[in-house]
Amino acid sequence: MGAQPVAELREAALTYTSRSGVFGQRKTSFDAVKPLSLQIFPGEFVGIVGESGSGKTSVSRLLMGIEQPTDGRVMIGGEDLTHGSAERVRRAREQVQIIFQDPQSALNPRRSVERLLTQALEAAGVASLDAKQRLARAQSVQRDVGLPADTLTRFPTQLSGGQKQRVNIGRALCASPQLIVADEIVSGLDVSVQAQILNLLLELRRERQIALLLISHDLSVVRYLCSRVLVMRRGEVVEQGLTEEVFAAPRHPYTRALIDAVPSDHAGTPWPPAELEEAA
Amino acid sequence: MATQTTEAVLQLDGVTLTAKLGGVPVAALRDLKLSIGQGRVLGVVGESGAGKSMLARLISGLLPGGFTVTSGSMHFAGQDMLAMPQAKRRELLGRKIAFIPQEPLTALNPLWTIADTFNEHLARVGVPSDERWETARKALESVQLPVPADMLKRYPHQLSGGQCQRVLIAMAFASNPALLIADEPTTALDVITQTRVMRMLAEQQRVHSTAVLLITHDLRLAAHVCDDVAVMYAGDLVEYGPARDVLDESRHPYTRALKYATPDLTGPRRRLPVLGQQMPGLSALAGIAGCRFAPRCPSAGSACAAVLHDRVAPNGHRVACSEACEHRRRRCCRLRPSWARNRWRNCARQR
Repeated sequence: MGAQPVAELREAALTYTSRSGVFGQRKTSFDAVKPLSLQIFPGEFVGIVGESGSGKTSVSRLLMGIEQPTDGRVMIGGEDLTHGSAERVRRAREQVQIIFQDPQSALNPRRSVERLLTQALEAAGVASLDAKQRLARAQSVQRDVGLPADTLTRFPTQLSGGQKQRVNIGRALCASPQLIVADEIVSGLDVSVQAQILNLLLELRRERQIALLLISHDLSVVRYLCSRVLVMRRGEVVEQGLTEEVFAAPRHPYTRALIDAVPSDHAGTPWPPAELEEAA
Repeated sequence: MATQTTEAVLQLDGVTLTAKLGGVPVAALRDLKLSIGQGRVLGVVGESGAGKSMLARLISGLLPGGFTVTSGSMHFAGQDMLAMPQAKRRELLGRKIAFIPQEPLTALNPLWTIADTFNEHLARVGVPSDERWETARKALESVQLPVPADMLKRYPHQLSGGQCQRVLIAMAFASNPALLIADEPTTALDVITQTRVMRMLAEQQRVHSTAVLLITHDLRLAAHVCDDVAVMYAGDLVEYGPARDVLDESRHPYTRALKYATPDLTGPRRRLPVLGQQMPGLSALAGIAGCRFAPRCPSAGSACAAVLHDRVAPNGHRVACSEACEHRRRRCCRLRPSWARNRWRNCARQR
């Protein structure tokens, strides 16, 4: 790919320090993300897998600009998030949108779906639109994410889990982002609803060339969506490469352990595996 | 897992649980037939709203108001649970019937140490107060928690999700129950922790030869750790049989849809087939007399909505689907199975 990456981490690291003891004399530090380089190109779906506490979410927080890296650089669309004027950083950050795991808590229960979508348009700085145009845009977003027409007047509590997650995807799309960070977006959903959301993401890629960073502990979901995968463990990338190659012939024992931990499609293969403990 | 089958620990025979919705009776659970033998594991699989948790609440006697059993019988170790006085049923809970909830952190009192929680539970079970500490320590040791004595002094927030779940497993087995109901015990955990917790659960189950009712939404997980699997849809038991058969030779269209909607880790990548519409809610069920899956079923015929079928194969593999419906599906899928998954939908569309 010769294009410029939509998002890039250059040896970015994130260390949390906490103080304890009298007057905070004792300092303890924790490396959430050890120096990490990552490039995401337009239209590319990249997955990050790892168990809880492996630093997956910290990477997404770096990309979103929620956390400043303690070392290294975070670039969005060629703009340095760590060194730049406030205005340019703000513009660059609009290129990245995030969807969270729990669709319920991400939506204000007192706002209708229409208001939730138009609010996202306002926040995305599409100020030139008047109320009527915004409504039209909200309707087109609602169609794009496959929500029935009558959902616009409804409130989040009246929607199913899958529909709520569609509203969240719609809100992310309002800003016309280059990159969507999806943090465990299907882990709370039923399998049939999960399949709908996954297919919706694939469709969005085809239509809009959106890049996606998928954070998940479900390896089969990562395999379905992503062309490239990073395996993280304790803040470090232990293995990365094309999804097919990594899953077919994992080189790191931790990747092997992660794959073995997923129950297989056939009842004949024994599960749980016996020798998981040493690798993990 | 152990395969001894003597007398059924739990036997449900044609149980129908009815709720009154605005004066109209609706069967929230319909004509359930299932049994769990001593030391056997039964997996109950389905999506949210299928009635899995309602089944768990029915067995433990914690039904919400307005729900009543209108027909059928439920026997626990030979005793009719439905005819039992309420006080006697409560006696069973925590002693003979143990429960492992889905959210380990919310199940533990945040203001109590693990020792306090154990103390309360062991007191109910009837362990004398001077033996409780030692019993609790041994229970934690059996689930391989490091430094049990230290663990007992901690508060729930100082433990990880997997550790909390292991504490709950230890507590559930402390009373040496005959039946354990595990409601999605690993849903909140990541894959590696899930593997550890499931292995621990299987080991304890073997040691105590407890009958386990494992509720999960993961068909593959259920097929691997259970002896039998029951698939639920909208309050019906749509497929029930030996775990291997249900996963590898699923017969009900809903089981097949569940199976194929999960992406694979091996083999060629395929597009996930998607079922239209949603599982009907309780209020929408009143109008459906026959198969509740028929409105979404790709191979349903006109007769499906009228009668609920119940066919049993010689090996005990039961399916609530008509012969005609299954025949239609087979005719579409006679080609290579890998094609059949998607073709099935296509030919349903053409019909």
